[in-house]
Amino acid sequence: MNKWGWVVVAVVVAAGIFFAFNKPKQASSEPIKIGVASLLTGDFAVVGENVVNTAKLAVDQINKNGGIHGRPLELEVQDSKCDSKGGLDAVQKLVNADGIKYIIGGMCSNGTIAAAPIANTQHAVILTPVTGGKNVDEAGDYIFRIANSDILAGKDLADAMNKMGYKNVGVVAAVTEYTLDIKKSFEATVAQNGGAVVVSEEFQPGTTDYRTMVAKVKTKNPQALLILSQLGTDAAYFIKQSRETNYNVPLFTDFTLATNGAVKEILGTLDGIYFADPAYDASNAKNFFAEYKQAYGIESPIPFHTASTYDGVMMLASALRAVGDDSVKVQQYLSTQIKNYHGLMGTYSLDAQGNSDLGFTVRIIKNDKPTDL
Amino acid sequence: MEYLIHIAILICIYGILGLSLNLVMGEAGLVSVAQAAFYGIGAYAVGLLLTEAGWNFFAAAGVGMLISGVVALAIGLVLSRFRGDFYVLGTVGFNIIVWSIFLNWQELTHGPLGVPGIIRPELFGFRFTENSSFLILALVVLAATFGIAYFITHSSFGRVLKAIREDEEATSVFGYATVHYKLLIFVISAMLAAAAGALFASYITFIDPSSFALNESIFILAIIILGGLSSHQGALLGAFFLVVLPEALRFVGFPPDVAAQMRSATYGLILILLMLYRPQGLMGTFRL
Repeated sequence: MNKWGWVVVAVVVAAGIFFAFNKPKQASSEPIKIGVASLLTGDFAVVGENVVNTAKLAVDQINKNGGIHGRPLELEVQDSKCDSKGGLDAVQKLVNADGIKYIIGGMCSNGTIAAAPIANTQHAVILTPVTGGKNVDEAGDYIFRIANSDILAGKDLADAMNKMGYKNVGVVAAVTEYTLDIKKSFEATVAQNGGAVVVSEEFQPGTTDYRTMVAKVKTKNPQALLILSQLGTDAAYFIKQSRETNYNVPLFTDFTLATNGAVKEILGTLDGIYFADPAYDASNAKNFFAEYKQAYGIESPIPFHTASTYDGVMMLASALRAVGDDSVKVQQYLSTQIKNYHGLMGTYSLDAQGNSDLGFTVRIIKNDKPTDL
Repeated sequence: MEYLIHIAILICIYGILGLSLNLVMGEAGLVSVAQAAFYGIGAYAVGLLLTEAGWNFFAAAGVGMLISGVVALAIGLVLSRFRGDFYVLGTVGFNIIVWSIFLNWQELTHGPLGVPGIIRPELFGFRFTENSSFLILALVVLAATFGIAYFITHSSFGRVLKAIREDEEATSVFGYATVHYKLLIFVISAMLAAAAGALFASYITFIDPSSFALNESIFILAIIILGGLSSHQGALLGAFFLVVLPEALRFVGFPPDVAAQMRSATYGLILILLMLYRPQGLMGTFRL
């Protein structure tokens, strides 16, 4: 094929895209499409697969019960990867090519923020059951966060330390958006509580040698130490090397360390570690988790994401039933009517900015099981 | 239509990046894997100057290009000591350093939290808020970049670059200070990449370090290898192909459970097949 042949191929591909999404508008008896933009490839694909699996089951439940005034829901899934361009591409495709106005957005924060202008200007509602960062909280009227807030994680951990009498504390965090959000909130709350952060360190994700950092933390002698990493494994290596040097300070961390199976292989036991457990009503979600296991043959890898995704789909469904297939009215409904909502995450509300008030419960691991304090 | 405009804007941005890298790699024969670093410098300059200092986009973009050029001059002086594989590794190292600065200099760049709320460009009171108007701006910058690249390759300067690519020692025997030529094209290429970064930051309205990692440099490299080295049309076609292909695959009816993975695998397979059957790229005139 000569070079003009390739040009013809390129033009045909572009024309194919154009005609593929220039479909006639939906009639009122046709399905209402719900988009799912989540990270389905890459290191965190397990997060996206969990969101998609949950959304499918939730949509099946709704459709079995008659759908939305006779109209079934239909899922359209797109990979958002874990970067800003990937999030924007996925939401562009859903909103502008498929004409979808309701999206479950299990994306990374950067993807959610990059997609927010489209959602806000084109009145497409995005409910995120995964991201909990400060940037997402301020992303605009059409972005709703159901997931537990990172800001509250930092606050709840600092409050727990304060309650236990630890006034001079330390924090060590990986340089990621998620962990730095928690760290900043933690440091601010410690100061508000009249305490002091005597050591504050950061490390690159994927670091395996923490001996120098452990030695530095040791010299500052904090009464308790918060260690934060994106997946829990980095924190596990830090704790392992602390133990090797007989440094035994009360350790606090986020939920990732407690839920990552690989951590136990690194540490042996997690006993004695305090962690911020996302607040959700596990007993409420028990039946749905059983249904999940029956459908996919595995336990939900991140149960509170499963619970929040389910709640997101159900919230959309209740809004659609109440105000009809109109995304502006759905946005208004979600902003004003989701108060004391009873879902798998428990009973909670969305505030005027569209963010849930779900925080964390600090627990301790005893006999390898999370235990209330 | 909005979706097509979105894709067209991305093609313009990656087209500029492809053209800029083609000057260094296709014309001068220097294999650089650092284009994302200069792209990021332009993006961060615009992002920070717009959000924190309230600058006009065009002034900020100019500053970004200038910073990128100065950085390219400094690193180019170091890289000019290397040849072949060592030069490639040097550019890889430079990209990683710049990415680490984006990630870790949190007081300036906000680290992984990124820079949100970057506004669209404004010119004589007209703001490029609509994507259709932004596309026109992107097309103008792309056309200007193409014009610069065309002018360079058809000038005596461009002919010396080609001579350096073919045989640097022979070129220097004729009295050409090859280091200066290589340095100059490296700086020009970096400044053009920064212009693409400025457009990207303003279009996407949010930037963080993940957009400027080594993977992005490899993607830009793939654009010109696929399009064909030493061909400006090839750089544009490569950008078109690599931006459109993954989007086109979103419309292919793979089974929903494995659609994302199938799309990624198909994308990779198509690229492998293209390289097997068209190793000089779609419109290439030169092979490494």
